[in-house]
Amino acid sequence: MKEGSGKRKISVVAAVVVVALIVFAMTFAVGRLLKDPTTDQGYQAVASKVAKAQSETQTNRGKTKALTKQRDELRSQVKTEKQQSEKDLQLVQQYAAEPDSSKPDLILESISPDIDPLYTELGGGIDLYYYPRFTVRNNTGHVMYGASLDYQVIGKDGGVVDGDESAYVSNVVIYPGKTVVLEDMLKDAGYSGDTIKPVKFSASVTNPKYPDSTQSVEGQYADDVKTVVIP
Amino acid sequence: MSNDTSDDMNDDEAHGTRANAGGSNAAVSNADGANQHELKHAWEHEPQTIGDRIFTLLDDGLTKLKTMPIDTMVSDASQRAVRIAHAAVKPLTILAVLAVLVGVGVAGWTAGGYSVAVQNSPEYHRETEKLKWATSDLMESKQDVENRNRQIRQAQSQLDEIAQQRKQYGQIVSEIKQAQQQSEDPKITVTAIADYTKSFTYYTVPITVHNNTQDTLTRFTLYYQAVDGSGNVAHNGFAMGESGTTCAPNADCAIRIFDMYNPAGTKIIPVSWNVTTQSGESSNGRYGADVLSRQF
Repeated sequence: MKEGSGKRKISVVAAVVVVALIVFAMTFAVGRLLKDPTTDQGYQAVASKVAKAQSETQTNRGKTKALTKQRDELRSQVKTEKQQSEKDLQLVQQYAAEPDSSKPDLILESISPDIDPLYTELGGGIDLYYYPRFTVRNNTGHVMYGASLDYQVIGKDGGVVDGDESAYVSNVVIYPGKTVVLEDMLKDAGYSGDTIKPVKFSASVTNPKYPDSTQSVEGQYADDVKTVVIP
Repeated sequence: MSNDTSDDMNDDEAHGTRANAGGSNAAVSNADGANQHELKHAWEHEPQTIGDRIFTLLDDGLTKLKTMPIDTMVSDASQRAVRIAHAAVKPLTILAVLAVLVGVGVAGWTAGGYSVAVQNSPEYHRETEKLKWATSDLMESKQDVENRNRQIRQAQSQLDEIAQQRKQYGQIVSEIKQAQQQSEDPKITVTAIADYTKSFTYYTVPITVHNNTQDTLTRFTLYYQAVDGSGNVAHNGFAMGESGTTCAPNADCAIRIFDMYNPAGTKIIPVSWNVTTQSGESSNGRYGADVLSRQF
């Protein structure tokens, strides 16, 4: 009787186990079949990454759009400025030169003590005039509209024979670095063999504060300035 | 066999001390009528649902407990307790088994779900593919932003450079522009510069000017400079009308350069003008760079 009961119990337990296995197998199968992968954490992690990347991409595209506009504006500004700058540079290259600070504002290039051609042509008979011509270079760094140069006639003994002469030029436009000729008429007083020596100068240049007006720039020539002997 | 086992179980509960474990029908007939009835109830209606069966089993157990015949019981209290316990074992066991089965079912369901390799599902594949593209798009968009920023920095540094350059040349450029601009509308405009002629030591250059005023001009002078190929001013001078001539309003009038300077090889550029009207009013001004000039 005991053995029988035990056997039955074992059978019952075995049956329960079998049923449990079947239940497990079936529910396992159904669970597996009905599993929605989109509810899985792994899937959702990927999906949220996708959403994040997409939203960041959208933000970046918006940024790019704004930046593109900004870039295009700047580029057209660069273009305009560049054209303007090139025009400026062209003007500078054509008309301007860097001043040489080691030299006076009006660099004396040459002096010629010409005799009046008419006097030469006529072979005398009229008063003799010299036409001293001073070629000077505009070293003021500005546009120059006129200039004057004071000079002396130095005698053969070294004494000043005539200390109050001046050559000038006006109604001209002299760009920086360009030369201009200042002229004078000097009535002869037995100057042949004497020396013409520049002393000082004055130039009328653009006033940097008021571009439509001029200011005067003055300077002295050193003792070793170019001179010329009157023929 | 299962039939037999069920009989035995009923028997067992009823008597507890049955010698015959063989479980024949004869042995069953020994059991009381109620027991037999319950057996029939449990097994004769063959197509039963699991729920029905479980309910029936539970019902059987409880009924047995309730209808336990006191007279057949031994008066001994402990034996009675044993009988009650015996009777209670079945429903409790069933309940426990049920609980276990439910647990197993839930576990099976969950495990089934977990057994699906989500990484291998088409949905997951699609999503990872999407992520690949989205990441690529994102990289590209980041690159775009970087490119734009770089281009903006470039443009800005170009602007700075240009501004620097223009600042450096600004002063002289404005002076040059100023010099090339006419100071005002000229009262006399240069309309022609003719070839020069030489007589004796003098060079004559005939020039035509137009009187832009409504006044008769008694004096109309033009200042010019002779510029060589390097832009140096080789000479400067003036041109004016014959002594005593006047220039009528809106008329073209002849003036001339009369100078010992030989203009050959230079460009004659009018620089400024100076006029006096009949009423004695004088005015002067500078020509712009667009003035008519002549290269000899």
